[in-house]
Amino acid sequence: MTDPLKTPSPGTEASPDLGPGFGPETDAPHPAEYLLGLLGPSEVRAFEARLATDPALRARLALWAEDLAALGGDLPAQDPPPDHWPALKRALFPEDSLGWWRRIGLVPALIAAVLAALLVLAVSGRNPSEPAAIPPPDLPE
Amino acid sequence: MMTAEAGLEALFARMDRGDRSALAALHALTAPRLFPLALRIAGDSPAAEAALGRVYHAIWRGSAEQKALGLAPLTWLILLTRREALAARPPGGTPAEAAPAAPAAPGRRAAPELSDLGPAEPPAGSGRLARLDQDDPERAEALRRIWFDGAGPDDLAARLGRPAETIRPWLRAGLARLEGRGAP
Repeated sequence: MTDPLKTPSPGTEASPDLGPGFGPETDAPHPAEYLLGLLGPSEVRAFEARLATDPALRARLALWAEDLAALGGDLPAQDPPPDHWPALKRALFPEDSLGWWRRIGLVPALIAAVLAALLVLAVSGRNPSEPAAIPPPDLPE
Repeated sequence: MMTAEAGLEALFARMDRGDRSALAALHALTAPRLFPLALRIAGDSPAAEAALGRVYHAIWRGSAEQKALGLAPLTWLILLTRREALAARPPGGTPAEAAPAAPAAPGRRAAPELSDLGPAEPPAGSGRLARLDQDDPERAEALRRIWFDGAGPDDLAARLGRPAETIRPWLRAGLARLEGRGAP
């Protein structure tokens, strides 16, 4: 397919001047063609270059986008399955679904666990009057 | 009361600042509108869900393209959903034509911080394509096939019995006429 922007056809000069964004319609890609994905890569680049400098073309594009977006307007609203948002959230923000010990990091969690164990040992070591957890076995007479 | 469009603009602005609750609210407001479109195009629920997931991923990453094109937020979301749903269609499948109409289950979830807004309403459009339905049903049908099924010039050429290279000029002429320009 030829690129109409790069090879303007003869007769373009004779077209009436309709102002910015209103080039000869049979030559220039139409904004709806761009939105529908009908343009080839070189046409897309050329169209986007025009868009960047032509506010009237951007306004036409916005109107056509609304018209095309309205095509599915008669589809009844329907929620996605209930796990859609939770799954999306987990994928986007995985750190939110980790346990507290993974959020703060494995090494600090291990250090905290060791300190907690030492504290328990220290406390129980200062209280020798407590009965032993396991009674001594009965020795034979 | 904030309009729905202004509400979505405000959510986009909050997401630009990294506000995750704005994304949750956007999902609650727009997913009931986007999911049926994704389902219609992609053909089955897993593909539609995957497409929708990619849409919200893209929106969370930024809305620079939407701003550059000057599109309203919901219009932009619909264009993205169509693009992702077409990409998610199972290869070789044309499930959309056979898909039954989905049952209505509009907006059960509320977005707390936007409780005055209902689920996003679809863009009304200018009515030009409705006129095309009346005046030129062949072109209107071709546009629908491109929009919902990703039909290309070759598909349309086979269906309409025209040479493939004439399809785009034919469509373009019809679009130009709708805008009040070009030959009648």
